[in-house]
Amino acid sequence: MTVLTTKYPTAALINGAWVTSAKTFAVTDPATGKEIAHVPDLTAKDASLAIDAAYNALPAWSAKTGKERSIILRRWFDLIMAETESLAQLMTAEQGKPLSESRGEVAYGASFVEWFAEEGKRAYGRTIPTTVASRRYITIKQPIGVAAAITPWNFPIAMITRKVACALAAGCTIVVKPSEETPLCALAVAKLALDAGVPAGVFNVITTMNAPAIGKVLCDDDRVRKLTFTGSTAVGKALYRQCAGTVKKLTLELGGNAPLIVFDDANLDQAVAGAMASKYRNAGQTCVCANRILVQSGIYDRFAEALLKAAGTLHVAPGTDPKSSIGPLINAEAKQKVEQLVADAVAKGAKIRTAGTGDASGALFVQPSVVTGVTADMDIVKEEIFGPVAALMRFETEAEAIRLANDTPFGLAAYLFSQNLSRAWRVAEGIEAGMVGVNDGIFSNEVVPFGGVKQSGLGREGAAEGLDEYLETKFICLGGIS
Amino acid sequence: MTSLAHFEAIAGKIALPHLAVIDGRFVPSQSGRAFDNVSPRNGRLLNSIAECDAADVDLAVATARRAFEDGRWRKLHYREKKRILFKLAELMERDAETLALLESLDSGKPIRDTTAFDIPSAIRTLRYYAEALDKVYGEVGPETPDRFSYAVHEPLGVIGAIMPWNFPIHLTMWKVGPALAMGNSVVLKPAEITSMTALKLGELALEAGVPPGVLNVITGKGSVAGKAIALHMDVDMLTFTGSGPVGRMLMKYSADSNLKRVSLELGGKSPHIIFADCPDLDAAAQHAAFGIFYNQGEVCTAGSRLLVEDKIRDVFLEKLVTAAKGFVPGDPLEPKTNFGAMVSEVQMKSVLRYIETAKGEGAALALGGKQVRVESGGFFVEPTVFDGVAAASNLSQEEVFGPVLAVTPFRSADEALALANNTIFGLAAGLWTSDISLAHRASREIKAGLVWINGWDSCDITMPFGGFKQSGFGRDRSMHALHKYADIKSVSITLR
Repeated sequence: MTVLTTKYPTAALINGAWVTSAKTFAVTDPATGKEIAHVPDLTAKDASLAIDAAYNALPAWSAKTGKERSIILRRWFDLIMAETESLAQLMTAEQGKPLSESRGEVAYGASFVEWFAEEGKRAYGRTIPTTVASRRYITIKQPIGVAAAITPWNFPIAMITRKVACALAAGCTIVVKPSEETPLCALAVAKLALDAGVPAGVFNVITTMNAPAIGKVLCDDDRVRKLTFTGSTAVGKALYRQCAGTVKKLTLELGGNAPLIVFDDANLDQAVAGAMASKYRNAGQTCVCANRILVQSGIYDRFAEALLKAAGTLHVAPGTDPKSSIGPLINAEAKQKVEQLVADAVAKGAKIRTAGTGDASGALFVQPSVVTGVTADMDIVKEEIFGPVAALMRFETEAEAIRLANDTPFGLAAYLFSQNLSRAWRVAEGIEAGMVGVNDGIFSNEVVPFGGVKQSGLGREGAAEGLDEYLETKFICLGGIS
Repeated sequence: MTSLAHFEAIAGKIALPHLAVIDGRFVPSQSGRAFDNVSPRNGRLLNSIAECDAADVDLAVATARRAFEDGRWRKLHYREKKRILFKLAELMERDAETLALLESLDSGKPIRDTTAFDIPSAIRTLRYYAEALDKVYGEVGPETPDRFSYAVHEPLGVIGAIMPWNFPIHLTMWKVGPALAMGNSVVLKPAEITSMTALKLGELALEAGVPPGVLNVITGKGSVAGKAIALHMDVDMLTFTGSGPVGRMLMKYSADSNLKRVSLELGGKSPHIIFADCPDLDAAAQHAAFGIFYNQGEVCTAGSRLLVEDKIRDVFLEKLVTAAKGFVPGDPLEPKTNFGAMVSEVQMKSVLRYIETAKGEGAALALGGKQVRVESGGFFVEPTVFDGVAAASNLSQEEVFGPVLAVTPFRSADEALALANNTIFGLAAGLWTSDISLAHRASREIKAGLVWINGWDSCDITMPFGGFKQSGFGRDRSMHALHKYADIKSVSITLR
């Protein structure tokens, strides 16, 4: 790790300068519990300085043409890809996910940089047919201004690039507060951005243990015109309230309670593969993980057996072990929550069967499992599990499946498995979710809009819709034309 | 009141339009010539219609040009354009029965169809484009510090619309609706043998308040009046629905004159594929019959090649023949009739020739095959089904434009897709399957502008319509059609 912490910064980034502080906090490897670095524990005052920097950098950055910004972003993409291996190692060290998944995330995270480097050039406005002969109506797209991003630990690079590359492509400057669990990846990609030529102050990173205090500064400062947050619904709601004071534009990617519906007419192999990918990726710690696996009666027993068999191939080990497919959870609270949810389900009549090989004796490891006989009264279908536990519920009819799927305040991702063409459309349209995977367990990428409905959030990231989140539409009326 | 006697009585009373519409006036041809208009229902003369030639076309184009340049329509406030087009829709509704009757008398279509489909559809299309005319957005280029750029859609000018006889008013509105909504002037030339609803439309447009000269209707022969429009140096665009050979000529005429834009909706030999895992064989059989026998098979998207998976061939053919027998040739003015006359004697004879050729090629006649209702004096061919038709045969390759279905079995999805694409055409295709992957794979691999899955002809004015390959280019319907009648102008302002 020392190699990596000399290669990548352990200081925060404000106005192009690496900032240290007397007070620091430790970053630990969740697989071993060992400290791997210390980073500055910055304060509200530092956050204000970062906003100053972003605000001062805004005029020059937003005045650049899309093409000029694109050249810099493209270089950033190339630098990230060139350092895939070391970034992946850093990620596994601070986040715990298997190295293979870390490598995948570096490429996934970089894909946003590449895509927005290209799409940023296409911020078109419209001409609108006039209502009065002496006028012309046009709209133009302009960058919102200074953006602030608060990012989570489950995708330490991708959740940064998805927001920052998009904001920068649109002509905004940004202040990022990464999760205190995974600040190193944020600092590493920020360094590469500087190397690529992103000017001082355009991209700032504030590391801190005091998220509420920093969050308050970001929300209260009127110069920050946009807040983008990925994380829990509870925190999202608090930020939403706080942003009311300055009427900030908001993008919120919050929690989910994704249903994965397997119909009797599903292709069993496809459904099992989809459930495996959706459920156990990142040890179950993604907001789009299948939280409730709804299985129709006719296929329930066969599906449960096949899923258990497939889960048997999972291997629990530190992410650095090449055989690892399930790393540690992020922290003790996360593990405790998973255990509580399983205990509640078992107490109410569910059956748990563990699967997989490897060693789950480490403090933060959880053996993958399949829980059958889950019913609607159990906490495990109401809360995000965020762990490698598949919870199976039984249903009889398509109408019941849709009702169960929608019986949640959340609406982020949903999955359905059916070979029936008409049913696939009906259910995809009937489910209240921002994203639906039909016969597929992983669908997120840079070209499609990612985001939720209901209490899963506001706005979309990725795709043309993502760029629009950092642009304002200005209507110009040209009058007096004779 | 909907009885044969009722419609015959009105047919005897209404004035049959016969004069061209030029510059807001109803005029005979300058030469004084007129052609006989025969009803395919009974072979009798309906009326004599102005036989326009190049001199009349010159006049119509000149007046259309004047109307465009002086802006009497183009520069009218959009609310006013919208009001007038909506008014036209209302007048068409008011005269719906007359329009339906004129269409049936002229084309041999069942009055049931013209009443339930052709006229209401034309009205819906007109309203769609009237509603859309103030929603034609241009683009403003991405911000640059020293330049401001935008692109706008501007009307082309004078549009020559040359129409076919199979859905005269319905297809006319696919073209005239968006062309007028965009602010163009139009010279409309209906097919010689089905001119009456176009003339009625020209009359109603004037009554609605479309300024004189904006919509002109020229009647006459394609080889004379149509050619004159296509060769005219002051027509900006040809929009055409009809046969491939005529489409080719129009492109040549355009090249020989002023490089006017050309949009072609041509023929098809559309495959309708029934896979063994079809979710509803009875519905598929009904749709397959409808796909080829509706409008006597005189449909550019007719599902004229039925590809059936071998293992369900016998059972499906039986259901299909049963469904086909539901289409019974009858007097077009009899309200119960669901299968009318072929549009002309020429067309009937052409279809009968195709049937004879198919017999000679060894296909098995499973149903029909003959002229019927000979005693009526009209031009009727019964629904006809050939089974075991070879992919290379005449019947599989050429557009019959009549009620003749070619059934060809297949054994695998790959074979079905190869058969489907084994044609110079690419207008429409249909397929029935419950396999979600196959449906998506097939829809990508089939080279056609329209793909209908588990339901034939299942989309409407909101979706683009047009062909791949030799079925033409350009799209009717949807907002794409509006943009077709416009050019794009990029304007850049350098800020100093």
